Amino acid sequence: MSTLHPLIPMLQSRQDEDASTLGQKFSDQVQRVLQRSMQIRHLDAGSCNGCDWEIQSLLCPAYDMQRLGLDIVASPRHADCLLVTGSVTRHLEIAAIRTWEAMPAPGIVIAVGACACGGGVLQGSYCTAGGVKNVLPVDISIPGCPPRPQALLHGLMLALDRIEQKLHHSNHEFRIGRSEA
Amino acid sequence: MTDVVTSPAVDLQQLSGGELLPSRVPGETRVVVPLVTLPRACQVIVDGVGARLATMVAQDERAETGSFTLAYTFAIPDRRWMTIECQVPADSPAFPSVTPLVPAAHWYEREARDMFGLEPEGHPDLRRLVMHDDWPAGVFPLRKDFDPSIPVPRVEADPYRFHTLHGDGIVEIPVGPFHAGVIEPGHFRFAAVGEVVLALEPRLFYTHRGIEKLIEGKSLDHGLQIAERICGVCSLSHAVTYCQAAEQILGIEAPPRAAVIRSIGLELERLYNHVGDAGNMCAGVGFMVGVAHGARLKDELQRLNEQFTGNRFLRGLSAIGGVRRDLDVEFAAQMSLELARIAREFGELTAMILGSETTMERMRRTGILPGDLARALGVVGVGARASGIDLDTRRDHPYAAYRDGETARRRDGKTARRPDGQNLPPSPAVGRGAGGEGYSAVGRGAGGEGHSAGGGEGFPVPTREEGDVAARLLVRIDEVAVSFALIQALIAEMPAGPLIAGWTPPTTDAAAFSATESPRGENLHWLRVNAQGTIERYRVRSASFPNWPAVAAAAPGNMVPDFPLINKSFELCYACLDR
Amino acid sequence: MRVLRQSMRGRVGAHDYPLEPEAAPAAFRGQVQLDPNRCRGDAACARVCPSGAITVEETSTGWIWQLDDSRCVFCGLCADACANRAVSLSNAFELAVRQPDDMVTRAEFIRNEETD
Ligand code: SF4
Ligand code: SF4
Repeated sequence: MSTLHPLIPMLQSRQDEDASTLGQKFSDQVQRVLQRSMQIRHLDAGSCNGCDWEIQSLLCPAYDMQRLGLDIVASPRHADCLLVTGSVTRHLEIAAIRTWEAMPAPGIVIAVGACACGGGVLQGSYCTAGGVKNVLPVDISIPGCPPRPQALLHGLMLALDRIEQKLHHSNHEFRIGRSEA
Repeated sequence: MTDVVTSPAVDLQQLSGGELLPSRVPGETRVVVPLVTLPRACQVIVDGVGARLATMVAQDERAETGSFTLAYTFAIPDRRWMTIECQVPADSPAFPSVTPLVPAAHWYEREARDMFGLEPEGHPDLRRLVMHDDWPAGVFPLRKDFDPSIPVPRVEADPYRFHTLHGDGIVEIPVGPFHAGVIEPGHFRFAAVGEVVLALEPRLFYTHRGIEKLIEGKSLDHGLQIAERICGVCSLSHAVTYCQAAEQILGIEAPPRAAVIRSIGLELERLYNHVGDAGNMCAGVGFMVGVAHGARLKDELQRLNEQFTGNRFLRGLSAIGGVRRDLDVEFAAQMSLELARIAREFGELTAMILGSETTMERMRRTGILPGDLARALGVVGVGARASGIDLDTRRDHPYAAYRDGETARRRDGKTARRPDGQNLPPSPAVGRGAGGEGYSAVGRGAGGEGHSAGGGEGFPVPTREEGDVAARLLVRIDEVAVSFALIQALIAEMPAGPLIAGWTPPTTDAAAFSATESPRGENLHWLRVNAQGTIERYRVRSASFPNWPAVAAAAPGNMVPDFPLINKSFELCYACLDR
Repeated sequence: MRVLRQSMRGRVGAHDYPLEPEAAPAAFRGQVQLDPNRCRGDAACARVCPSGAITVEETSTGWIWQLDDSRCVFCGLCADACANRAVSLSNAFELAVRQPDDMVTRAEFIRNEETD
């Protein structure tokens, strides 16, 4: 038999909070932090389309992310956070960086799926960057292949905290409500 | 409508004038021809027996034979395959292009040029296809001497030259690679006069991930995980195609129960795709109720997938030799009930779409893909069937549970609801989309529209003649009905037995290919394993590969704002194409 | 009117996640779990893992089993490969994290000579 080393932290659940507690306060928090809905831009940086479908699913009546104050927008210039799927292929790397640069501060980057978080099954390919973290600063990672829509919602809720954190700790003049204008 | 004959009349070898090679693929005739006669041999097959170019595989065999190999595989209408091979010498890597005689070879040859450095002489368009311009010249990723672990620098190069049209009032509209919606990246260059598209040129392969190279040297099991992730929404078709190719190499077959479970999975995949697409096509015309309705049904189907296989995209179901998950009686019964309900609700959705005259009016006569053009481009799947080409891999090259003619017959007897008990000839189409009211897709499903080839016992393959957006929608709706009926029939007669056949890694060099009908059309995987039991070469020709040029061909003459609708009606996948 | 009727027939409404917790179905393949009492460090899981998410490293006194969620594609091959049934896939799906390090689980084992 083998024993666990007593000094090493035991295997434990690493989830920050469970979603229901997050969810309860979420809509209010969106209001408080952004004073409008949280706007998301999706960026496919070489995914297999699985992750993208799940993001699309969030808009369908079964999840209806808009009821929580989340919405997908068409331009990075309107977006509070960028949902990046895929491991960032060579052909999309430059476009991905440009998209990120077009975002207003603080510009949260969320890596969606195994490919985006750490390269997934595409380890060692000549044509991918092996994860978003190698190209853009990642704030939140949502593992899964693909993550279920519920897992995406959970990740998006964590993102809001991150936005709040960044707003308080940066000197950026954050232009609240800019896209509503 | 080509009539499918089952008795092979033509001696393909004689026709091509090549020398016969052995093959592991059932129904395949494999010949080798001298390089100079390659285009001619291909043309004879295409013109002589109406073959469709199914794939082209290039291989770097310089280490073994001192040359590259090119293999053009054709699907013969009488349900056989034909492969024409030739050797390209290593010291002069060029071959006479087949494209001028067989236009469907266009992209395949450009790809071989990018990936292997094989020059197609006489090819009309020698721009880069897969590797974009900042990829250095002279570096060919699929050659054996390319080392993927060394980063390849970006180089300065002339920007890609789009074919542009010049003239008074012609404006060029670039779109992409990132689009406004939640869709995949690709660049489209329109030339338009006013609102009307004169020409459209797509620039794709942005999501090229180098999967064909990546998989080389991996074990068969490892390869499956990668193959399954080529495309999200055709995960299972890709997985099953890969598994079938591997099974042919290993000389094993999935047990009957596994075959049925695979088929159920494949039909579930078709369902969630088609149902979602029917909804998505409404987005192209701004019919939001339809979108929401379709998306909700799609999600319910995906939930079912998740309960069945543990993944909303049916990943992890198929394994080499069989399946990894059983479908127990209890869940099968529950699934059957759920599906019956979803089928009913989908019927309501279709009635709603077809009853909306404004929606249908936008779709009719929009984005027409003429049948002869579709044939020339080798189009597959819904796009082909809506343009009058009667083809479906499930019937033409049966696999899994589709092999069982018995199933089809019993299914027909049990669930098909033919209004008049006869096989209806395909009715003239424009007229019937119009009569929206009281029009239930389920009711007319399995037998009505699908005129079965192969003498009545075959598989119902719905086809339409007009080739417009509406036709593609109607073909999908018909296929959904067939799938619902098929799943119910398969659930009803699940054979007992093992789920998976045992195997050991191969010890000889062997190659095989297999095809399945994904929701988007025929997927064809060509796989070669070496004596160490690892993958030597893998070639994926997904349904989107031959169909993308068709999208570009269907756009001219339409309004620019109709393009998203046309694109959605083909519902092609970028990830499948780009790999 | 017809549309309205349909939307009022129930079922159309949103699921309540995240306001209500919602469990993934039993078949769902979620986060990989290790039963430390069963793991014998033979690294079968690490060998089959297609994405290199699991690593098992031999140390002078035992071994370190490590899982990187950021790579895991939830294929379940590791669970199938483990002869000791130490690895399994749980139902956990709320795996989003703020720090990449949070995605790594590490367990260090000390080999117990008498019983091995
Ligand atoms: S993480 Fe999985 S589902 Fe998402 S893009 Fe990668 S392979 Fe596809
Ligand atoms: S589930 Fe698959 S990817 Fe994840 S750790 Fe296990 S073998 Fe690796």
